Order: sequence, then C-alpha cells, then structure tokens
Amino acid sequence: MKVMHSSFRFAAIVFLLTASAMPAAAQEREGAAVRALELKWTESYKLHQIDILSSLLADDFVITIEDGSIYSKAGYISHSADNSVHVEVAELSDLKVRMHGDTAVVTGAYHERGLSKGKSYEYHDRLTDVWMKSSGKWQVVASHYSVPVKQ
Amino acid sequence: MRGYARSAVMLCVLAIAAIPTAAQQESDAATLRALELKLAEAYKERHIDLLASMLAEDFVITFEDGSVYSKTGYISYSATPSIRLDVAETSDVKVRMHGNTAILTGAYHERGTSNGKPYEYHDRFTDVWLKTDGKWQLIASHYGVPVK
Repeated sequence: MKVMHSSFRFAAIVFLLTASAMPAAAQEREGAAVRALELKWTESYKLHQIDILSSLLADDFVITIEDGSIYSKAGYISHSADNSVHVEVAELSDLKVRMHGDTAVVTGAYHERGLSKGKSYEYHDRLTDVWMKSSGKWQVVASHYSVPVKQ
Repeated sequence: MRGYARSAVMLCVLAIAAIPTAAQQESDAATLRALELKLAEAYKERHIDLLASMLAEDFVITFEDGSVYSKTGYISYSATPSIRLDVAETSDVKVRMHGNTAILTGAYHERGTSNGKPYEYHDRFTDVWLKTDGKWQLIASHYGVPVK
C-alpha cells in the first residue's frame, strides 16, 4: 500500500510538473516559429519573392523604414518589388522574441547591402517587428527599422 | 428543432458579442492617444511611478542610438538626474487596432540637455500597446532618427 501511495504521489507530481511546463514549452515553440518566419521574410525580401512576402504580412501592416518613410502593406510590396533595387545582403542577428499570448515582439539587428539604381548602399539597423497569430497563422502587423545615431 | 434554433440564436449572439464594434475600437483608440500623451508627460516630468505603471513587465524599447532597454533599464534611464528635458512631444499619431493589441506610429520631438550638453531628436516612433484585464500597457517601443 505504501508503495502504491508513493507511486501515486510520484505520478501526481510528474503530472503537475508536466502541466505547469506546458505553457512554457508552447511559448518556446511559438517563439521558434516566429524566428523561422523572420528568416523567411528576410529571404523573400532579398529574392523579391512577392507572393511569400505578401502572405507573411497582415492586411493592416505598417512599416517605418530607415529614412522615416511609412508604408502600408501595398506600399511595402511595391517598394520590395522595385527592380531598380538589387539586395545583395539581408541578414538578421541578435534576435530576441518576447511572447505576449498571440502577440510576439521581435527585436534585433539587421544588415542590408545592395544597389539602388546602380548606386551602392548599406544599412546597419536595429529593428522591432510585431507578429500576431490569427486563426492559427502568424503574420507581421508592424515593423520599425532605424539606423542608430552616433552619440 | 426548437433546441437547434435556440442553439443557433445563442451562437449568433456570442459571435456578435465577440466582434469588437467600430464604436469600441474608436473608444480604445481615443484612450490610447490619451495614454501616449500621458506617457510623454510622465517621461518629461520624471513621474517614475506613473511611467512604471504604464509599462508591461516584459517591456522593451529601442532608442535613437540603438540601445535596447528592458522596463527596469528604461526606468533607471528616465530617472537620470543629468538629463533635463525641455521638449517631449508626439505628433502625426496613427492608431491601428488589432483586437487587444494596438500599434501607434508617429513623429516625436525631444530636446534637452544631457550632462550639460544640449541635444535634439526628430524621430519616427512605433509603440505597441496590449490590453490585459481591461488595462492598456506598453509592451514595446522603437524610436529612430530618419537617415537623410
């Protein structure tokens, strides 16, 4: 009986620990999904894969880019499809994902280098991206990319 | 049949109740605009308790120089006595509602002195607010100076 009791208690503890760990595990899984989507977004932007890009952006998406311009989804897609821009490097680093239920905030660094109308350009940015999960699908709702000023 | 009809009606009522009305969204947007002003004022006047109450625990902010602060770091920074703010103003604020998450974009002007040295920023900003248990709190901010 005593053994039975201990087994039961052990099982109960394992169950409770598993149950309490589940939200953390789920958050980790969602965080990893959002990171993967960040990479997919960067790749589709670099390669002008407009259909993929479009599927990642919410309809009410808004982005503020390095020169302070603000684009809606349609504006950003047009900007990304511009054939006079050739993106050679588009890389993310130092990504941190903060989960708030169905909203995720991603901060990090971004490096872009390329040619615009034959003229070379290069940015070393900081970024904030906001993703939301709706009907089981993550989409980015807002982005801000800026070049740090020197103090 | 009567049971099905009642269930269908109840489902409709629940579905309609779950959709935020345009009036509700408008009211939330007005609240958020007021909170943005309150935030800028609390930052300028160093009302640290008020500032802290407006920020979520997992708040993150990116500054003009690329520094990234947590809530604690930002509160410490805001309380720095060597910084004196003369102007902290938002303008051109747009609110986009996504249920309990709101995205605010706009322009921000800050002028002051840091360690006796004058400084001035003309930024673009993105603030992200989240409503939890009926209360809006800021979860993320990004302030950057546009490149020329």
